[in-house]
Formats: sequence, structure tokens, C-alpha cells
Amino acid sequence: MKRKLVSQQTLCLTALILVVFISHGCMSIIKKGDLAPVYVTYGDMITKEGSSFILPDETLEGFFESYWSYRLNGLAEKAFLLEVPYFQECVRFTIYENFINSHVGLSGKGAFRIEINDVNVLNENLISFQIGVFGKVNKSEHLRFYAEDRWVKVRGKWFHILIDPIFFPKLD
Amino acid sequence: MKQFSIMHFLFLLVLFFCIGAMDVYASESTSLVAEGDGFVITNRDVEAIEAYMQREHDFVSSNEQHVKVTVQIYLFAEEGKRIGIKPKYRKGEKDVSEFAQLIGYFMAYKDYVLENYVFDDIVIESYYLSHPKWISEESGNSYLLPLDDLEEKYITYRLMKLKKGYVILDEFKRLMQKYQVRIIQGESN
Repeated sequence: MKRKLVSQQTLCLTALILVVFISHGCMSIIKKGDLAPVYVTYGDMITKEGSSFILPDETLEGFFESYWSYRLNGLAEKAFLLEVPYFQECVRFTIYENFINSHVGLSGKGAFRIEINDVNVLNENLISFQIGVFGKVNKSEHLRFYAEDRWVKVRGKWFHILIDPIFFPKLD
Repeated sequence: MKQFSIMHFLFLLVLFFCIGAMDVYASESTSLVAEGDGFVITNRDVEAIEAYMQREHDFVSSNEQHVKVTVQIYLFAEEGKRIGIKPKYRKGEKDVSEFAQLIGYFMAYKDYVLENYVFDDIVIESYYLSHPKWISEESGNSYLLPLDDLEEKYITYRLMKLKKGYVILDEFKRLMQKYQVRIIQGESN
């Protein structure tokens, strides 16, 4: 009986340690959750084709998700580093930051969804997506825009090509 | 005593007249606008540059902006002289006045800075890959135009069109520090 009691105490202690670890894990998730999550969906493209699209380079997916997460959450500095090198060279960061901030200010307010509606593989180093970006800004305001989203692979790393004829008219 | 008073009055009158005249003269005289290591810029220099900018480039702006443009022209010209480049004059220009030389050195140094700016290889490469050009053969095959010297020059030219404002501005900032320039008039508060 006494032995059983010890065993129960050990069990309780283990459970307590587990709770501490789990709550610690949850806290780190909450910290990550400071950034509004970005979900990527493949729009009508898949349902029409009946099969999912396979990107020519699977590493692109990670760059794509990171970039849009940074950009939509207003992390201009991190997003800037994923812009194509010639863009980084020719555009002052302060101007880029203004551009990013003009689109967001949404951090921690809901989630974003990026719908990829079309993919055009121009060559193995250059891919163009047609995307729709959706998000909830607040109770009454929603973010929604459609754009061409280009990516180029330079020296093994994918970079975003920002196309915005109003903010950066000379860069295309 | 009475005679002395009249003389005294006349003396004061002349004195006041002189002071007034000096004041008028002073308002039209030369004043220091900026100074740096080895040169000074006066309001006369700024006026000359302002007239030149308006005449040649239809550029009209605030006094603050004209002061900055003047300082930039003087700095670039000074640096151009120091590194020994030849001033650039317009075709057929025979005027070799001091002012024409100043502009000539400024133009030459500005071109020198732009021509000697080197883009990193990855910058050129990223532009090339982002803007592929295809060559079609009679057979129907097509191939990507290679990144040769000619293409690299073209890309450099394209990028410099986007970048040159910043290149000039950065060089201006560098020379401001190098020559320890102090702008006395025309600074915004």
C-alpha cells in the first residue's frame, strides 16, 4: 500500500513536469503567434486539374511562405532580404519599409491566406504565380488583393521579384 | 560753443549717413554660406549657381536646396581637381571662365563616379536571370541569351539609371565628411 502511494506521487510529479513542459511549449507557440499565420492554398488550380501542382524546386515553398509571412506582418527588414539582389541594390530600405507599412499594420490580428491560382514556370530559375491575398484587418476591414508574384533562383536561393508599377515603376 | 554745436551736428549727420550707406552696402555684399577643407562658398557663389541651374536646367528651388547644390558642385569640382581629371565642357564651348571650369570639373567628376561604380556580380546575375532573353533559331529551337560582356554592360546601364541618384548622393555625403564641410546659411532648422 505504501509502495503504491510512492508510485502515485511519482506519477503526479511526472505529470507536473509534463504540464510545465507543455505549457512552456505553448508559450513559445504564443510567442510565434505574435505573427499572424499565413496559410497557402492552391485555389481552383488543383480542383480543375484533379492533382496537386508540384513546384520544380521544393525549396521555393519555404521561401514563399517566409516572405509572405514577413511582408504581411510588417517585418520589412526580413522581407527586404528576400527581395531579388538587384532590387536590394537599387531601392533604399526606408522606401521599401514605407511600401510594406502601407499594406500592413496587421500584426497579431487574425490570419492571412494566400491563394495560388496559377503557376507559370518560365524556366527552371524563374517562376510566376498568380496569387490572391486575403486577411482580416479588424471586424469591419478586410485585406484583399490580387497580384503576379515572381520568384527567381540565384545561386541556389530563391528571391522574390517585387512588381509594383505605382511604388516601383522603373524596376520591372 | 555755438560754432562747436553746429560742427558737432554736421559731424553726427555725416556719421549717420555713412552708417546708413555701410548698411546698404553690407546687405549687398558677400557673406559666407559654407566652408570646408580648402574652400569657402559665399552667397555670391550660390546666386551664380542658382542662375546657372535656372538657365541650363530650368531648376528652381528653395534657398536651402540651392545652397546644397552649390556645395555639391564645389565639392565634386574640388575632388575632381585633386585626382587630376580633365574638366568636361560642352561641345564648342570656348568660355573657360572660372565658373565654366567649376562646372566642367563638377561634370567630369560626376561622370567619373558613375563610371567607376561597380555592381556586385550577384546584382548583375539576379537582373539577368529575372529578365531572360530568348534567341530563336530557324530550326524553331530557342536558347537563353548568355550573360556576356555586352549583356553585362547593358544590365549595368539599366541598373545605373535606377541607382545613379543614390550613387551621387552617397558620394556627396562622403565628400561632406572628407572635406569637413560646414554649412552656415541655408540649413533647415
